[in-house]
Amino acid sequence: MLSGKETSRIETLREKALKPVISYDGFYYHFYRHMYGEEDGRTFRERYGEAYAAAMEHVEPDIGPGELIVGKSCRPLEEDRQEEWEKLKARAAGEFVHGGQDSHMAVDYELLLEQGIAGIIADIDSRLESAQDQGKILFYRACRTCLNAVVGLSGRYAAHAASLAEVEPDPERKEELLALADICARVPKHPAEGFWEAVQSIHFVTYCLSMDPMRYFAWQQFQLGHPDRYLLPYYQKDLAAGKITPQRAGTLLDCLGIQINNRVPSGLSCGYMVGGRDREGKLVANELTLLCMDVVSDIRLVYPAVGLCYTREMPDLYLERACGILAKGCSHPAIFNDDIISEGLKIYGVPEEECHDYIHSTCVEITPAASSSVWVASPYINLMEPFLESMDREYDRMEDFVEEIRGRLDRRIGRELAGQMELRRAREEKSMNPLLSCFVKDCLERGKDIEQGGARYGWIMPSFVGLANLVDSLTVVEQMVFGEKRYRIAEIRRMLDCNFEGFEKERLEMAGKVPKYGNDDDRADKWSIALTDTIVAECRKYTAAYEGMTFVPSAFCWIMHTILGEETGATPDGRLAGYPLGDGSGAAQGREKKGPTASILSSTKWSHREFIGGVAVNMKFSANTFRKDSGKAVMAMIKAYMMRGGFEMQINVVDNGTLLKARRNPEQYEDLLVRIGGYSDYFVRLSDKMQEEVIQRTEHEL
Amino acid sequence: MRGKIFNVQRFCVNDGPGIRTILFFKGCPLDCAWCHNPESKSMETELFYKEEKCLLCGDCRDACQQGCHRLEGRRHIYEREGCTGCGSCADVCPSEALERTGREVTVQEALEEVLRDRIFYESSGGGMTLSGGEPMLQWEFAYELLREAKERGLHTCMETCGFAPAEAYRKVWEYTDLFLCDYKMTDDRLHEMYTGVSNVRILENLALLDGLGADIVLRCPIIPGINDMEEHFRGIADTANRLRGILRIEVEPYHPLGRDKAAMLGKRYGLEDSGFPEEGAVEGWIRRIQDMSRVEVKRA
Repeated sequence: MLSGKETSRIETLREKALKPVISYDGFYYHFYRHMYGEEDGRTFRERYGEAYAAAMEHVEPDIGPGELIVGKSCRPLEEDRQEEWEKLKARAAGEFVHGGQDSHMAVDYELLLEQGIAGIIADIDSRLESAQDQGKILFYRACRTCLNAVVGLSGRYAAHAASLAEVEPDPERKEELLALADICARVPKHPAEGFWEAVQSIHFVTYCLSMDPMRYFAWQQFQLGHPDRYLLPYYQKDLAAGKITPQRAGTLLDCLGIQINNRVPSGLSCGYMVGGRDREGKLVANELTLLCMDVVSDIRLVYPAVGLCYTREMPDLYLERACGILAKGCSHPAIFNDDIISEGLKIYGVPEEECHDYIHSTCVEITPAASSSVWVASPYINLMEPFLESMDREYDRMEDFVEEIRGRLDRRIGRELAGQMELRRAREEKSMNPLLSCFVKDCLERGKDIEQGGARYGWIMPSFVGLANLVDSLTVVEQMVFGEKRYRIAEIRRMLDCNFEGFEKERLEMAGKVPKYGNDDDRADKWSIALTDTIVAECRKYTAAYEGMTFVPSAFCWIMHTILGEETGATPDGRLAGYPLGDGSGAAQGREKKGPTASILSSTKWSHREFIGGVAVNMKFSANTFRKDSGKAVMAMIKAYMMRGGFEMQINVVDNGTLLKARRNPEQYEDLLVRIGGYSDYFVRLSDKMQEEVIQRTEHEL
Repeated sequence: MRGKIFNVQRFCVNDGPGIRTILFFKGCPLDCAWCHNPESKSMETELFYKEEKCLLCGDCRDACQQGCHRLEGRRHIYEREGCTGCGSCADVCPSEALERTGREVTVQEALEEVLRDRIFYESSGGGMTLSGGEPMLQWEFAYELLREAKERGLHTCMETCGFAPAEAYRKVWEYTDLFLCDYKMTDDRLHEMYTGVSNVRILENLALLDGLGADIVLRCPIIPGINDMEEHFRGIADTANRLRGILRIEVEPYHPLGRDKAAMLGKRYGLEDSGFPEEGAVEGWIRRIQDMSRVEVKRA
């Protein structure tokens, strides 16, 4: 809860952050201009540091009215330099490597706060003293140059704040600006002393990391890790010294949250995680956990994307707070299950003391914090492709059909992962990121850039899309081809080829008369177990095949269920060509008929533990479900999902806008529950008139 | 033992504590004009027919032994006269235009369905609720179900209109943790007019359950223009004040969703021109009853 004055500050900043101008082109332009300046025979590795420093020189500090946390995107590149930039870009495209879903991680914020950049530089200097290897020496020097450039920019922010203070008429703001000038002069160069400094320090470095010259074509999504862990000592210290109030801390965190929106464009995902357990396995649940969650409803912007790490021993207060925020119509926090995720990380070799320290890298992909060079969702693999390809002939038995699908899936995975490995090798050769390397564990120790394999964990996470469609399609074939013997495969194939035109009756039977994933029916759900087992085994097989690489599967889709759905023909589960594939790991759209408990039971029959690359289960509720007693029931439902071994749950509380959409596209919203005079029902099953009445009424209840 | 139900609804959060599964019993001795589950009234299996979903494929015509379905040009005619409710048509209907309502289940089968959500009952303090229709119309079946559920440690709840033999209530009481007892009309003449039966026996059973020490929630459907009057509100409050076992009063504002369902059953609906109560009215009712009552009054 913010005071009136702070509310107006946050509202003003929020208003601006709704349509931020985000461009790093100016920075990139100057980088490449320098990189491609006078040829002197040096390699790009030798030139990187000074090009970076030169580009940073051109970044102008930008402090907006009311800002308490500073550092945001630079101004767009000047018009008259566009042409030259296009030429530079074209040249860079030919020399450097594109592709690879990197970032999606949290850097070592504890190191930053405790050592400051000066401390890291001192460490680098001492390493340089003993370094013999030319590559290492080059690397360390580049690291040092980049770090100094960051400090330099912060110094210019300090000077800018001071000069703004000079002309500031409002005495209160003047004081803030003077404080900011002080803070920017101290951090990130030095260890943080207090809470404000700590927040500014982590934001500033993360902001600088967003500008990665070698990734000028992609937006970098650096997550803020676990602020309720690394900020806690500073918060407690300031609180004890009377330097801060919980309210003030909340305001600073709100400002931090708003700045994420000023460095990452919408459509992606960026944020932080709270709760969970610390290195000793002890519960993390404190005042900052709550304040960090409150940011979501305070600022109501796309970022931060907040994850609450639920643990068995977490007091209800925290989940209650999360549900309260969701009830306001916010789409976060998402709830993650530390019990499962930490177990899963151990499967992939993460030791006990690190297994609770991870971040949902953007949506649900789990990457170890402070030590990751993991490529998430690399690539997305459409599970319906091997299925449809396998429908090219008849089979004697269901098992033969399934074997064929498995074989094709295996070959597909093999091809895709080989492609990723090639990209990885190319980047080893043609890319570098010294600044990031300073904040990712083992890079400095190994004297190796993150792009050359310096990070402790360098996994690749393929994500499998369309699990529900695959399960449902298998169930249809099992029942109708091998059970009832109603159709031959070729006959179904024909229906699919013409997108069920003239076969609407058959389509409806396939959709409605065969069990579907999401309804707690083993006849369908058994395939989800069998197929996810296959996926895990495949990833394990390829992990063994490529030395030093770990492939970790995921089952989520971001927006890829729509994109891959567009290019996928009709499928035997009754889905028409071009329609989205199943979203996340839950039931396919419109196939869930028995409510959320059955849906949860279905989606937790297979083991999520191995799918550290991310599992997403989405649930929609109408706003009125979240009232008082029923809100508690939703919380209990989340807990039961966690007890069943669920990985992550995303609750969507829908408003009337969504109800209106559901009226127009009922197929997409068949799982939408609304409360009507004491009971809940599926919205789309109500008659037109009733839907209208519910919409009118819900408006009043919101 | 077998009983007849028409629906099993999971994740119910408004009929007893926590997350619950409700078994809706088929058949009811009352005939309330405002009934929102018209398919619950008859013990016979019936068929919902949703014309707008019909594909005119004719499969129902071929499946029906009684000749109830025919196609006339671009229209599907379903004659309910002669329909035995066998449901063969619904079995083959590809588009769910025809849907059977009502099925026989054994105690074991019903219980198995209920137990599927056990983990949710445990995390929420929920359990099983028997509703309907009127569960006490098949009270022996209800009794067995409640007993078996209790033996497995489930919280049990029964929503009842109160119209059943006193002996039956004495029996089921033993295995029922919470009764949701309807209280529909204070004036007996009006009660009979709108529900088809007198409320004398209902009030006696309420007193009986109270005397046995049952926990009771008084559930009061309020229908604008029918029972939203002062005497009735007073009657509700007086009853709650008089009986010790009443934990709270729940007001169930009328909603007209039964009208749709009645049409799909080919039945007449009691309150043709009604709509949702006006906004603000519900709060007014609750406030009025609360003013006179010692227990909490809330919206169901």
